[in-house]
Order: sequence, then structure tokens, then C-alpha cells
Amino acid sequence: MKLINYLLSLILISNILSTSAKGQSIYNYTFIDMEGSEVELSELKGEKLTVLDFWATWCKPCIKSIPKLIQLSEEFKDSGVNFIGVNEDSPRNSSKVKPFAYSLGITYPVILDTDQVLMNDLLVSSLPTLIIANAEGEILYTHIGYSNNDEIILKQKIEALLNE
Amino acid sequence: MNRYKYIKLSVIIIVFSTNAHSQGVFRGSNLLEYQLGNIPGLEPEYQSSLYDQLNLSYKFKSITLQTRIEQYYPSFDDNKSYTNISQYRAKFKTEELSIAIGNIYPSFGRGLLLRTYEIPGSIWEDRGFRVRYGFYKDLEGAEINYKLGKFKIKGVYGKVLDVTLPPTLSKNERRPDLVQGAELSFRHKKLGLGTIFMNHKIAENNDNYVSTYMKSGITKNLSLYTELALKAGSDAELKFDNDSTYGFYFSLNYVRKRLGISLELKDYKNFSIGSGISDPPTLVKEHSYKLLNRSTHVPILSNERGYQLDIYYRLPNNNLFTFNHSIAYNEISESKSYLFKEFFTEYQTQFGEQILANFFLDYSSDPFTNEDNRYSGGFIFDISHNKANSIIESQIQFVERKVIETSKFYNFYFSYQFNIRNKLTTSALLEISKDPFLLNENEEYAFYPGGTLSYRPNNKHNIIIFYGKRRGGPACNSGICYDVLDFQGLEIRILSHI
Repeated sequence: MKLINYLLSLILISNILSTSAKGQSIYNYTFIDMEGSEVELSELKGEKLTVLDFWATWCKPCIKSIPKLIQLSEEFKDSGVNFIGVNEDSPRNSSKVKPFAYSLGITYPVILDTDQVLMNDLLVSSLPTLIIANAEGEILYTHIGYSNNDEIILKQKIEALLNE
Repeated sequence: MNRYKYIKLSVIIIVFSTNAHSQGVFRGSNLLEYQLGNIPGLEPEYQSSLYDQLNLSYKFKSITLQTRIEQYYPSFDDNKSYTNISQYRAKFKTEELSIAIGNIYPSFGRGLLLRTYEIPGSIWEDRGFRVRYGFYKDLEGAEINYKLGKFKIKGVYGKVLDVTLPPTLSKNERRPDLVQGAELSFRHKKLGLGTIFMNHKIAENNDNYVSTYMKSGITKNLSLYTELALKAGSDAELKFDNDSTYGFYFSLNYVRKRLGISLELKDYKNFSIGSGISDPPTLVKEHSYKLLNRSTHVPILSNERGYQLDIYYRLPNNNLFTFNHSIAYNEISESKSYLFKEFFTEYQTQFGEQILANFFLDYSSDPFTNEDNRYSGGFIFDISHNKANSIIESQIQFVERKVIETSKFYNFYFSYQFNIRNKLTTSALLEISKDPFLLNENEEYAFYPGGTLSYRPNNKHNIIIFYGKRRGGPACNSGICYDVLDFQGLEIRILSHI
């Protein structure tokens, strides 16, 4: 019964927070990038779309997907689409992220979500996860995992969203 | 909970999701896992249990509300079942100020003094309690962050969860550590300086700790981080000997074109805080290869120093070379010391357009676990087909273990996986071990055969079915090492996003 009451109170709170709120942004975050500079996600977002890739150095499918994402980011860089790598390595591996990312040849910005703030807020539950958001920060598409040729699905999705 | 309450709960969630979505952004995820089976060798052979974790998140402008509801129903013991609101969180965030109240995941510096975490999608179960619950170590309390120009201050107050204790115990038992502390940091361009004060209380103990750190991008190619944390107060010894309480961490990394190098040093003395609220960098590679991951060295925070070197190099044809070397030295007493060492190398290459291959070799010596020599090797072939791919993985490990007398044995791992466009995945896996610790009387080999079927009907749902015998033991994930129980039987896992 306690649980029911608790959920009812959550509904009540959501009603108190009234008025229209279209465009809940995911860009309202500040992180350290792998170069050591403080950056706001809003500075890195794309003019039309932003692709967030949640990855870690120990995640094999993530590493497999990164060369394909680099290709896609080059392909769409003049179309208002920006790619951002969101690294989820714990402090245990923080020191390895930059050397590893350089050796992979990542050309897009990589931010360090060491305390998993963005991951928790967006309820990302497995790696890799790709999120596509529009310029207002609304999430339009989520892709979990990576298998061969997933980049084709992703490319088609980006093209479809750009044409909407 | 009876059927009527379930219906009420479902209606509330649906009403909440549709109602809330019109005003802000509502997100949710659910993890449901059903098991029919048991730890091999235990009776009854088949017993069932159902675990469910529901996460709800509502974001409206600067405010985020989140909650987690966990339920567990085993068929074998009503006293182990529970339905809990295990987490709640309210966050308010502007450009300069953020306040979070409830179950939060704060840390100080690189975790030498405090690190809380969650391993998403993981379910913890201990052989003693046999209760299943989400694997996270949170802090119930509050965190405030305020940014003023180049300065930032963080304040943390609350009780840290001891993840090894199940939710069937009382909150006081599960949260024995009270932490209150502040971190003041300054950042100018690529230079960051910080200082931390933390008070920690557990039972009758009341200790203060201080820490200071520096991070700097010395040049575009070279950057460093260093942190020194100490126990403060009248009983603190600042001699930096075996009786002192301190943690020191240093890292330097260098990048140039296709080359990346990371060098880290550690020195931890008497640095295990409370029930384990800190998580200093371990400086041991967390392997993704199953057999190596199981052999990961766990630092002994009472006395450990050492280093880790990583080298990554991408060859002009995009082939990737990785080298890792780590050393850890433990001086347990004047007459007893241990030296852990590991050498690992991996090469990733492409054969034509269709085959991506990884090869690895590893040697390690871990006298603390009596495993003086471990030799490992293996490969992964990822073969592309039309709209599908196959992954063949094989690993073998030879171990020399000395407990009174020396035993030599091997561990073997093989898996074959077939994926159809990230929708349907089937895999067969087999582990064989001659480890004397795993063998029953008159048994020559321990076999662990299993099969998995995974189906993703859309981007919001994923169904994974496992049947077989799974080998447990130590496992490391997201920087955290823990023990996984063996399992034999059927397991069905459904992941959903709302």
C-alpha cells in the first residue's frame, strides 16, 4: 500500500510542475573533455542533430563500432550533425581514455562521464548505446548494442531525421 | 502483493507516464529476470525466482525526479521475498547550482576517499543470503555543487550502502558508514587543483581524511593527474611508512598521432575505509576476455604499491596493437610479501573485408592467490555475412598453483555466436576446467555448457534466454570486482524501455 501511495504522490508532484514544457533539453550538462577542458554539452551539439555514443575502453562492441562512427561523423559533418563520445570508464580507467581514443583515431569530441551522471539521468543501461537528439535536446532515437552493419541502420535513421 | 495491487500499480504507471509526458519528459526502464535452477550440486536442482527492477525518471525544466522499485519472489523461502522502493532521487540543476537529495552517486577526486557506483543491468546474489537485488553502491543523503567562476565547491552528506548486504536487512544494518565532506576545486584552462575534507563515522570510529589533487594538460600531448589522501587528526601518522594511513596516485599520459601511452603509479597504506566506501584506482587491467577477467588482481588496500603501463598503437592499415604491464607489491608483514605481475598484448587486424580478428597473449603471476604462473592466449574472429555475422571466440589458460604441493591445470573457453542484424542472436558456449578446486571426487573435468537466445523486437525491448550451466567466480565490470555464483538451469531476462 505504501508503494501505491508513493506513486500517487509522484503523479501529484508531476501535476504541480504544470504548464507546457516542450523541449526538455539533454544539453544542460558540463563535463571535462579528454583534453582536460571544461565543456558544456550545448557547445558541442549539432545544428540539427547530435549523436551521443556511450562507450568505455573495456567494452568490445563499443571499440568495434567506433571506426564506423568516425566514418559517419565525417560523412555528416557538413549536414548539421555532430557526434559526441560519452566515455563511461570509472576512475580506474580514466587515465587510459585519451591514449586509447587517440590510438583509435576518434576525431569527434569525447567527454568523460566518470560519475555516470548523464548515463543515470538518461537511464542508459548497457554499452554501447547511441542516442540521437535534435537541436532542442529532445531524444528522437535510441540504439542499444552494436552488431555488424548497424552503422547502415544508423545512417538511414540520421538521413530520415534530417529529412523530417 | 496480490493480483489486485498489481493491476492498480500498472494503471498508476500508465497514467503517470501519459500524464507526465505531456508536461515534461518521462522515461522508464524495467529489468525482469526469471530463474529456474540452482547452484550446481545444491538441492533442489530446480527452484524458481523472479526479480524485477523498475526505474522511473521524470524531468521538467531544472527538476528531475527518479525512483527505483525492486521486487524479488523466490519459490523457496518467503522470508527472502521483498517489494521495496529502493531508491528515490530529486535533483535541481541550474548552470551554477545543483542540488540532489535521496539516493545519489557522489565521489571525491578519483575515488581515493569516496566512490559510489552502479553497474547497470547487474543483479547481485550472495551464496550466504541467496537474495537477488540490483548491484549498486549509493549514498542516501544529499549533494550540493556550486560553481563560481573558476571555483567549484561540492558538499556531500549521507550514508553509504554496503552492497554485500541484502534489502531484507534493515536500513541501519545496510548503511553503516556516515560520510560528510566537501571538495573545493579550481580550474584555469587545463590546470585543475582541488582539496577534499571528509569525515567518516562507522560504529565507534570517527575519522577525518584530507586529500589534495592536481590535473594538468602540460602540453597538447602530455597530461598528468596526481592525488595524495591522508588520514588527518591527532592519531594520524605522516611518516609515509607501513604504519601510516595514506593513498597516493599518479598518472601520466602521452599521445602522438597513432600512439597513446598511459603510465600510472600507486601507493596505498592502511587505506581501506569503513565497509569499503573508497575505490582507489587499481592499476590492473580490466580484461574483456572471460578467463583473464576472472583472474583480475584485486588490490590489497592495507599495503600495496605498484605501477601500470599501457601502450596503444594504430598501424597505418588501422590494425591496433595493445600492450599492458602491471606490477603490484604487497608487504603484509616483515617476513611476508607478495609480488603480482602481468604482461598482456593484443593485436587486432582485418582479413579482407569480411573478417575482423583479435589475438591475445598474457602472462601473470599472483602469489597472493598461490597462482605463481598463469599463461593465457586466445582469439576472436568476427566474420561478416550478408545481413548477419558470426563470432568465434576461444581462450585457454594454463595455471600453476602451489598450495602445499604444486598443481598444474588448465581452463578453456569457447563460444560461437550468430547475429542477425542486431535483432536475433544465438550463441553456444562451453567452458572446461581441470581446476582441482572445482572438481568433485572422481571427476576429471568440470564442464560448463550453455546456450543463449536473444531477441530484440524493437529498440525498446530485449529478451534473453539462457539455458545450461554457467561458471561463476570473480568477475570485474565497470571497474568493480565481485563474485558471481555458478548457475545451472533456465534464465529469462526481459529488458524494456518506456
